[in-house]
Amino acid sequence: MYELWIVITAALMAVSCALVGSLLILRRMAMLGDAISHSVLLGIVISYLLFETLALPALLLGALLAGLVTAWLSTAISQHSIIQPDASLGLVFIWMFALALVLIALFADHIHLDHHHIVFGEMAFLPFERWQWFGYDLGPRAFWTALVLLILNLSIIVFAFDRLQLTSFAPSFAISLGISATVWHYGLVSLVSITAVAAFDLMGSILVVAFLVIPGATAYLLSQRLKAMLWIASLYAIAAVILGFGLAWWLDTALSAAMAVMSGVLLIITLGILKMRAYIQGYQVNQSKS
Amino acid sequence: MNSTPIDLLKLKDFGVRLNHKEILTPLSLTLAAKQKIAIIGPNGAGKSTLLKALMGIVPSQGQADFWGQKLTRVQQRIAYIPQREEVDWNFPINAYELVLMGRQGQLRFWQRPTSQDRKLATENIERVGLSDLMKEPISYLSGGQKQRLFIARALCQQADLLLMDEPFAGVDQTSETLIFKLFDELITQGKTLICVHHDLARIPQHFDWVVQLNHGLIASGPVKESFTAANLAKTFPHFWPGISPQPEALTQ
Amino acid sequence: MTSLLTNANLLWVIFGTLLIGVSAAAIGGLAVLRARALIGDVLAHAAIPGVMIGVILMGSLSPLLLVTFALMTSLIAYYLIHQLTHRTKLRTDTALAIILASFFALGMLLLSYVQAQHWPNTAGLDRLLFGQAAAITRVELIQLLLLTLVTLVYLWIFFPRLKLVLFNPDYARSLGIHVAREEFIFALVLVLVVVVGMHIVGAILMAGALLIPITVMRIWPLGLGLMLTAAATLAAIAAASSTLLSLFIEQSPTGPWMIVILGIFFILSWLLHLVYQHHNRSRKHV
Repeated sequence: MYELWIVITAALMAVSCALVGSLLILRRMAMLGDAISHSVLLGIVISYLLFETLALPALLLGALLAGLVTAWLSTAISQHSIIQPDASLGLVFIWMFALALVLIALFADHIHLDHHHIVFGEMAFLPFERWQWFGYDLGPRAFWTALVLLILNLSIIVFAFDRLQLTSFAPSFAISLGISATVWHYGLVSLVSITAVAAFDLMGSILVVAFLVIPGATAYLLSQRLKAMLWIASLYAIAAVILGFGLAWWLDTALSAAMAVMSGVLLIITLGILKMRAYIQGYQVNQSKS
Repeated sequence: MNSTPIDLLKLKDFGVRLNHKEILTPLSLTLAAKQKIAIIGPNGAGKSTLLKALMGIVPSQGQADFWGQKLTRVQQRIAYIPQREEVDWNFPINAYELVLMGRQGQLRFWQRPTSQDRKLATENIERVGLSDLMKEPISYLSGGQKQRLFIARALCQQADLLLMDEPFAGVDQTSETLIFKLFDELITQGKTLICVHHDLARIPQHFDWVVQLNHGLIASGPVKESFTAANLAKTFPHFWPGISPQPEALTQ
Repeated sequence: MTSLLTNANLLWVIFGTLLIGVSAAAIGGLAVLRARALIGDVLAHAAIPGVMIGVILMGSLSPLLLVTFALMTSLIAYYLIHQLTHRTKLRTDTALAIILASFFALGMLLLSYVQAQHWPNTAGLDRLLFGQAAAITRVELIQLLLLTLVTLVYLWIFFPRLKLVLFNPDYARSLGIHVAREEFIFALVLVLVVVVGMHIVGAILMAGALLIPITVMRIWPLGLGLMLTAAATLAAIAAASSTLLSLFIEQSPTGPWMIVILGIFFILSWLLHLVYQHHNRSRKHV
């Protein structure tokens, strides 16, 4: 039963990441997940220094703000100068990460920063933190967080599908139609920040970074249409979660790392199959000609 | 000595396959030197790929001989002018540095350009009419000026054969006139030009020979004989009849 | 930390970070201009599985051994990025992110495997991920010195050719230049700098040392040579001052200070450029 809760919660989170991640890939912003995973540290440190508490809501708020600042500031820098988007993104997130390390060294040396928790998350323990409501046990709290997050992502993507598609594919054409590409851009990066921060706490940064890009990229290779791409990415994410759970159980390693590795393995298998198919097709064409 | 004249370029079943997909259908043809040759065909016919394959930029199948020899023996006698969009025009170099790059083929990796190389670069910038902009960063230049720089860079190679990939795409009238004038100068110097071209209307006036591609060779011949309605209909089969050119009218 | 003042170690640390700063800024600058701004970030993450494989296979934490293994996985990562962008329809940013995520995940999988085995002597692994300039040793300093020399000499010799290969690889090929070989040498030097540098300043901060100096100078319309020289100079200033800062302010790490200072340089450069533009515009109006 515990295992089932872990797999279901991880799958919900993974699908959320895969959905927004697919949109990031189309906008050539695949590195945003990695960037946010580093810059949130600044938000956590600052909110700790301001409120002097390690309570979760305050830290999450700080992390969320840091994620938004990363996305917004890097976009603003690249839009107003010759600097390429990826360079401005790197500039912002690395600087924020370094600043966080300096602040920790200066003011918060006594708090122990648990690298392990940040990177790996604590997925194995999530079934134990349960949500009680009038004495009823409603299941793990993480499950409900993941569910709410997925509903949020799904509803935004379903409602704004056409706008997201248009502004990803042809921003200048969208502007000519009177649709603000900038507003949608900032909207999407904000959604990514919210998803990433909520997922970090449960799944650790590796899983979030991996699931924001790998299932989406695999789907991008296979599909010609956005709708199909989103479906395929979701299926790949779920498959990686299940297979990763098996791998972690077999090797006795961290769940999140194993799931992330499996998403990579699925990508490699897909690439192999595509290569085979191209080879066979080329062979058939040759045969029919001679 | 009464040897037969050696052809400039001889292709035999020359084609390109990438990732098991046919990009350029194998073709065979022979081209003579000292003329202006246009390659035309619809998008996706493999015109740019043909040039890249000839220069060894993409791997190819079949045979290609220049002056009866393999590419590696005569590489320094051929200059290639890529499409303008292929490079990042925000790269921090100036116009002069870009043109000087044309001398890199003659230099070993540790050698610096000599004063001779520098002189050649300056002369060729002058030749395309950009002496004033020599020290400008390349990001400040217009489309036509960028194209002229590319041509100046190729001229620096002092090659006998120039392969150009759409040198007139997005180029203004001034630059176009200047480039065509340069073409004529080069021909009188005994050079050969092979040019991927889109503007059919300019072909009768400015080119001697036309190669028509569309999934294989459609026709290759002197403009007067080969640039006919029948051939064009084969090269551009889905041409909208309303704007179809009147080759007979054009050739007059 | 005040004991550092009397310690000859201080000079080493300044010298070491300076060397890393200069070589990273110079070689990183070229990588950034080739539309691969975050390549340093990816290569640094890709070194981690290499280190772990070294630990698992050899059971030791000897720096030279781990650098060799890290070098191999980072080079594989570089090669895979090249293959992904050339042979599939994936774009550079996606390829970078995929390789980063997969190699990092693999590294963490191996790390958690190593930790579950409770092997001795694996406590020093943290240093590799987060860096520790103050713990620089004489051997490392000599390595750094050699590395910087190699990098600068390489850049100086190959500069005209690198400029061409990075700007317009297809044209370079048409001149008969062996572009794949040039790119391999470039990748080798880049990876070497990243792998050696990351256990002085840490993985992420190494990415910053490659990227930020050139980005500070990028806003100005300079030629490539001048831009790289200026970037390396800025990196040197940031490295020296960060070492002094970490000395005077107790218990503050060198690597993060260096990046923070470089970031401040960026802000200053941005403001100056605004003033410069404004000045130019008002002059044109007159």
